[in-house]
Amino acid sequence: MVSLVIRFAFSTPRWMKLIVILPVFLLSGTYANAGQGEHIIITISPNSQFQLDTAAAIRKNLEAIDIRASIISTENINASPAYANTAYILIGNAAASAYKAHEVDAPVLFISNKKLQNTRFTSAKANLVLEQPVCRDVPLIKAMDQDWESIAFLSSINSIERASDLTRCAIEYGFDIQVYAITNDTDLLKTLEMAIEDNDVLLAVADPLIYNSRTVKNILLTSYRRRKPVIGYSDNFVDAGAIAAVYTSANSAGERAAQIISDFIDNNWQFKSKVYYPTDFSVRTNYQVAKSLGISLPDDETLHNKIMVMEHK
Amino acid sequence: MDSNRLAFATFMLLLGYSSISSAVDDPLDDIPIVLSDNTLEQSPATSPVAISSIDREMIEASGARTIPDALRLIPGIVVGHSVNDFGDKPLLVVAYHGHSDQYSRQMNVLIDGRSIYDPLLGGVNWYNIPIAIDDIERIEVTRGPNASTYGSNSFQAVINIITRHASEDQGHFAKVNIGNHDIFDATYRYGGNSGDLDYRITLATVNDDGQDRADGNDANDDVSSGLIDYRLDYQINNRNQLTYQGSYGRTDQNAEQGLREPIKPERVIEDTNAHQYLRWDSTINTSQSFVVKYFFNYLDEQDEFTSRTIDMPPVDPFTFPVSLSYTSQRHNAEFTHFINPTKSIDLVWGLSAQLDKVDSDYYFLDTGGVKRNTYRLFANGIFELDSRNTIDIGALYEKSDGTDGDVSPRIAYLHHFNDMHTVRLGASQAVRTPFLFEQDGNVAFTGEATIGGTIPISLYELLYYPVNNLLTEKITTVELGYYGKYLQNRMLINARIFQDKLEDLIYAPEVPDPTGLDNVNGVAFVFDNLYKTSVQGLEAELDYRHDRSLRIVASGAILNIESEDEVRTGKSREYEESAPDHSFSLLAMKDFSSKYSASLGFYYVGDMAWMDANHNNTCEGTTPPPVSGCGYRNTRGVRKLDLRLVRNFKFGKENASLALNLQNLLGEYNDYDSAPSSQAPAVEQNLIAFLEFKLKMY
Repeated sequence: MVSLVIRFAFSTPRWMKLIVILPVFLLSGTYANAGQGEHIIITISPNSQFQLDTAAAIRKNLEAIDIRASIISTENINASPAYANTAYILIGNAAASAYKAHEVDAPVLFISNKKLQNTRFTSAKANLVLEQPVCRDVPLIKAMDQDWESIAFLSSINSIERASDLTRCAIEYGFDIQVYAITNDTDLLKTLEMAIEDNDVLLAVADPLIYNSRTVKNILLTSYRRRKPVIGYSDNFVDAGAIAAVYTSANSAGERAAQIISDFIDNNWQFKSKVYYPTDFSVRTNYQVAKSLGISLPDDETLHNKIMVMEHK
Repeated sequence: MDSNRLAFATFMLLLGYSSISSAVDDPLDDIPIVLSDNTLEQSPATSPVAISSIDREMIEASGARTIPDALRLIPGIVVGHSVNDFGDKPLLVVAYHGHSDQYSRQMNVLIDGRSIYDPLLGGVNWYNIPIAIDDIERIEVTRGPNASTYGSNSFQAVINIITRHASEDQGHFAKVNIGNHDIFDATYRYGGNSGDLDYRITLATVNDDGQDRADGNDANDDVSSGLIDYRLDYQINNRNQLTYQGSYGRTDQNAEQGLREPIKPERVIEDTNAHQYLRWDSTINTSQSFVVKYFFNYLDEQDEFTSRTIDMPPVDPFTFPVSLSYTSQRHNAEFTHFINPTKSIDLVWGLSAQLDKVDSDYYFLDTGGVKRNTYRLFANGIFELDSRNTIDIGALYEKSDGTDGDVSPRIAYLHHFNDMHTVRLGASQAVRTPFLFEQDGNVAFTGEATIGGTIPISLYELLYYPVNNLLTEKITTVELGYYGKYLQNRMLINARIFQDKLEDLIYAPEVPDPTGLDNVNGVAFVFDNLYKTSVQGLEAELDYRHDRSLRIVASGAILNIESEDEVRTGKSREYEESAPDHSFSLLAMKDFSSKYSASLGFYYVGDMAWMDANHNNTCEGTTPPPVSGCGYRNTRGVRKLDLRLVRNFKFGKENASLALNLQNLLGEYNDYDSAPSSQAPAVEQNLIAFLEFKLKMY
């Protein structure tokens, strides 16, 4: 039985896992709701493995402190029970939108990559922002290859603030940074070619106006063709073909969210803060891409430690 | 970056922000897998074999109008224009380490992993391949056998042409070349997308009047080709992608009349080709992926004519109809599974089946056609023993109809002294399965004539006759390679010394007619495994980027071919002369500003002789030797100098360029056969000048 579970975990395609796991979650959620005590309803988009993993991690951490949790998909938010002692954890933008449309009157912890705009946070409505500080990418780049000198950064109106932060940090670490303004799709293709031609590495941040499922293919392929590495912002991005990323892992997000909820309950159902940030970070590298580009990388743990050392200098 | 630039970027963003796409995702959503094992190329530093790469920048800077023009940059590769005096179709011939006539049989050529060599005669008609040079991203050349990765016919070398993903060619692109030699090339490409579908379509035509005779007259080797080529990439979901490619092309080629044979007149040969290619890339998880692909190649060559008047007393002069036409088809299905069980182990295995089918009443007199099934099973493993040492082991088992199964193994050991220097010790074997014509070719001319105007006579001239026990050609290679990075990776050096042993080389000597039916000359050509050779040499490449504006790539090869046959005369001697002792190439690329750039290419190929060139120019004992030289190596050292000057323009958001290409600036040269016969002067390459205009609209 154990071997079957292991084989399922490691060799089964993701879509099949979703088919199998999601009903189990939904079913177990039903049982959870049937009991007494606090109910945490975790709402996710089932198409995202990261959200699925984060939800599972939250649930595991909550159950470890005897808080019942159920996982539902955004489509089912209308059907979710509204107990008096229910709180929501909404992972991702789709869940946030579904929540707003449903107008659920319950405490909620939004988990998003970037701080949600146009949302008024209160003691019953908080935001866990998973995005790592952009300045953490600079020591990562430094730790990966001492010979890299210049960083390309594509910026839309969404990420211009981060461009400013990044410029400051890059100078601090001795890098030359080139910021390229992207104002439309046409600019993206042309500017991308120029950016990767003129720099050693392309640094991507979570800016959906530039990096989305439609553009990421072109960005990664074009960079790869010119043998320039892309630094991503998530483990998904690394899976897709970025050479490395500093990111908040699903496990880490799960632990952090569970801790926030625990504190929230202990604090008479009031959040202590309106916006929370991750307390740690993970490093992930794409060994195959690095090897293909002829770049030898330290292992993930070494990179993590090097970043810590550089940040504490 | 200074603060002014950041401020400018901010201003631009505020100004143009509204026009950006609104199709955005949540960063917490999944992202499509783009680079996986099946799309990643192997770094030269970790490759178990010697790989050279010609990238897009080099293709453009070389001024290449055809792919062989760019392949001159690969060490050990020689390019020739075969306008032979047998009246055959003129071909561009690419050979690696000699052993080649106009059909370069010992090399595999692939486009995006689709093998395109001719199943009938071998080699590739480079004038007629279904790809526009502007759609190529890079050309990878594996120097040495690599059957376990690329399959059969990956014998002396493998040329893998890689096109861009459709998402990389968005918008309009147009190019026109106009120059002397009636050069007129035009390309138009449009790329777009719809949701998860990216597509591009390319229309292209290439035309020129070929080479001139040494007396200044135009040789009858004009080429005119047209092509429509398309590619669709559909992202099914984040882990699965479908690619569909297809093409239809038509090439008309003029051919000279035969001077060393009496039958073929001047004529136009019409080739029509098409292909369909479907590929499914799937990533199972971070450690496993697979590719399933199927392709279909089709070629229809129409070459029909009435023979020249045959004057063969006492037979009255006569003519007869001839059809050299044929059609060929290739169906190929392949499954490849990539596995990374641990970070230090990469495994690949797969299997494929291929059907080659040729119909021709000329090449297969009795049967009108042949077909052959080929089955392959292959596996490869890369094992990183530690951070410094890697072992690469692979093998291919191949079984074709009419041959015994063959195993082609490969092993390589790589030692990385540090991140900058790697040495490679490798050994590999490969086989070349005889092409369908070599295996089953049965060719005869028949004609009805009279003697004295009244007595009828049937003439039967047997040209080729098959044998039943033709074996595969075999090659065994041992090499020591080095890959080094210098000057903070700005200078890369890739070198190797090697020894190849080739056995059972197939050749068709003239023998007494085995059928007894030939009543013209009583002899015929019969293919047999007759020769063995060894090749030793040194090859080196250098890629130096002085700064962002100056890049120099250079390559060179020193080669020695020795026949290992007991009697080293005739064909054995010809093998020894079939590649130059020395060859060299250099391409310098310089951007003077954003508006002006230039490139300079120099190519040298030492004396050699193609296997089907006229080898009668030995003039042994002649003192002093004639100006044209003596010996078998009748293709005299080729020195070729090309210059390209480019002016770039910007029309609003569009890019354009105008380039002047001047080729063969050191004067005329012959690169195939400088002494073909006494009846006509050799064909030569002389000054080529053309203007190239490009426009790219996003």
